Amino acid sequence: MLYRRLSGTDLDLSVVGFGAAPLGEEYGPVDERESTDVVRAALDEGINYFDTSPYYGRTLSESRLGLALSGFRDQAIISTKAGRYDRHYPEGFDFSYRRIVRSIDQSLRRLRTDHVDIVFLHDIEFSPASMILDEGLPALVDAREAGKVRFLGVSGYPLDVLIEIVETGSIDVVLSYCHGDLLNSSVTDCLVPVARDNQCGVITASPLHMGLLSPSGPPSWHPAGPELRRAARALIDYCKKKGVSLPAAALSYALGLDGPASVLIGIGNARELSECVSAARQPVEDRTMATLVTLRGRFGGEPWPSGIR
Amino acid sequence: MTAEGCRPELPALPIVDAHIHFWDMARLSYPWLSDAPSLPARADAMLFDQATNRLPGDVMVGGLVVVQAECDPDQADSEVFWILTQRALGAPIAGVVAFAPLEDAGATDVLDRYAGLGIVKGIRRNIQDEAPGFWRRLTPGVRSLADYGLSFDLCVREHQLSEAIELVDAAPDTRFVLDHLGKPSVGSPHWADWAGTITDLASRPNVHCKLSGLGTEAPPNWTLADVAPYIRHAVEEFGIHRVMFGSDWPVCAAAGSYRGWLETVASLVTSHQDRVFAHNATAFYRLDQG
Repeated sequence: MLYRRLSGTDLDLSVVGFGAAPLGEEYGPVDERESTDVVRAALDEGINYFDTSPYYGRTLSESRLGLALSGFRDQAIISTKAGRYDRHYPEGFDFSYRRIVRSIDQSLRRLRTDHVDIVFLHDIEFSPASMILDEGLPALVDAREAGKVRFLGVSGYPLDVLIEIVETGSIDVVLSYCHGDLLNSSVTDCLVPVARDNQCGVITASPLHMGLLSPSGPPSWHPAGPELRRAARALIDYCKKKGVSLPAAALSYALGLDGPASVLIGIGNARELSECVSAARQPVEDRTMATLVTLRGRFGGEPWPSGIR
Repeated sequence: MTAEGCRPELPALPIVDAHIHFWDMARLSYPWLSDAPSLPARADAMLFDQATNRLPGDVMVGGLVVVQAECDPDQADSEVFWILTQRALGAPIAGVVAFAPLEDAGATDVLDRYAGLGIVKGIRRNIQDEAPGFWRRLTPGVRSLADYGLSFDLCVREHQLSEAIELVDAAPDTRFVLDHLGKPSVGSPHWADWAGTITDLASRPNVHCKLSGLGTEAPPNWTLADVAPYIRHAVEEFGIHRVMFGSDWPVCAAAGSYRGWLETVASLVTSHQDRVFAHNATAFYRLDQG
């Protein structure tokens, strides 16, 4: 496993990060035993970075990750999130100072630890920027003062919303999903330079574009528009014809982008873990990658709308 | 809040209702029911079917956990067998939570017999009207339930939650489920006390929680907004894997309806409904085992 320094911090993250949403059964049932086993196996493979949220499985993901990592806390870098607790707006969101403070205490209990390495305010496009800056982030700062959190960040989908916060210079890390992969790699041109100017680390997530690039196709709720789906279809068909594993190619493309320290990918069982590890070990050959990039088109299609702004 | 009149998403699979009661005052003696004029004299398979056969969409109730209803303790055996006759009459009973004299030396005979029946999955002792410290007499019996593969239903009021924690700590190998979220008085200024003790109780991994019975603890004509903070707090603290839907029928009908409570919980728990409305109860009560 390769490790990269998350700029603005002293954390060296494995390039493959363990996305723990599947442990919260967001994509189907996972056995409690199985979830502990896969986390331990990931540690054995050299994965040292684990990301979760109270939103994933409505706290189940955190509880299971905490159980699996108890006794192994010193081998793991843990990030969790705060501010998003359910699917729908507005009742699923609360970035108020009080709620974020309480949220972190609850997360620490579920994760069975006295501190987490990073807390992200979760999906900040569902909040006015003023709420993030005046309430959410001050709560994170106070949690850092209290020794409960080491680094502060925000996460979300639209890049402009993330950039607005990065530019204030008030956060250490930014987490972007579905913008650092084969279908949309705009994180490199848009977010990474701003983050660099502000000594802010970058992590990306979901290199399969929330299932759009998985051979079995996306989940029914996937928000992508027709253009993006067409681009994905072209990649899936090409890989099928050539006998190339698209998940492996997609992960290896995301890992190769300049800027992000780690790529978070959802892992819920031993098979998914081994796919990720072998993709990290064996990059897809350049010629295939070049074809895939050509096939996806210039930009792969417009992002979908997300948030309230 | 979900907009008024907006249909909640309802569970797509057959529901397992983790908490209902059957009783018949003509057959057995239930002292407390004579003081509860708002409750029917009889609650059985036929009436349950009437209460649930007009649920919206494709929702159906596919499994029931029938909880003892505080008949005269001498009639506890008869209560179990009468409940089982309701299964023969079509009620989809998947498990029974029975009374047992856990404070007596003779409890082992009763537990042996229940464990042999298979359909008895747990024991409940209604502690809610007992004096402080009563739970101590139950401790050895509650502890022994683990050996019989039986669970224990904690039926307490909110001021007794700290006692419930002591009982749980005295029996760490027993599986517990809290009935009716500890019966908080909905909308009262004691919210913080209740919430804090629930957090404490939920930190014990062998305790689960029923999302049930709040309607009768709420002011008349309660709304979703009244009960939402309680349900949300319980789900956050216990986690989506340790909470289960229970209707508390027919008691729920005294402060709403079966459908009303079902829709309330469904609109507050919009994800992982398979777990909350079926799998968690099945796993906790071991409903799929003999």
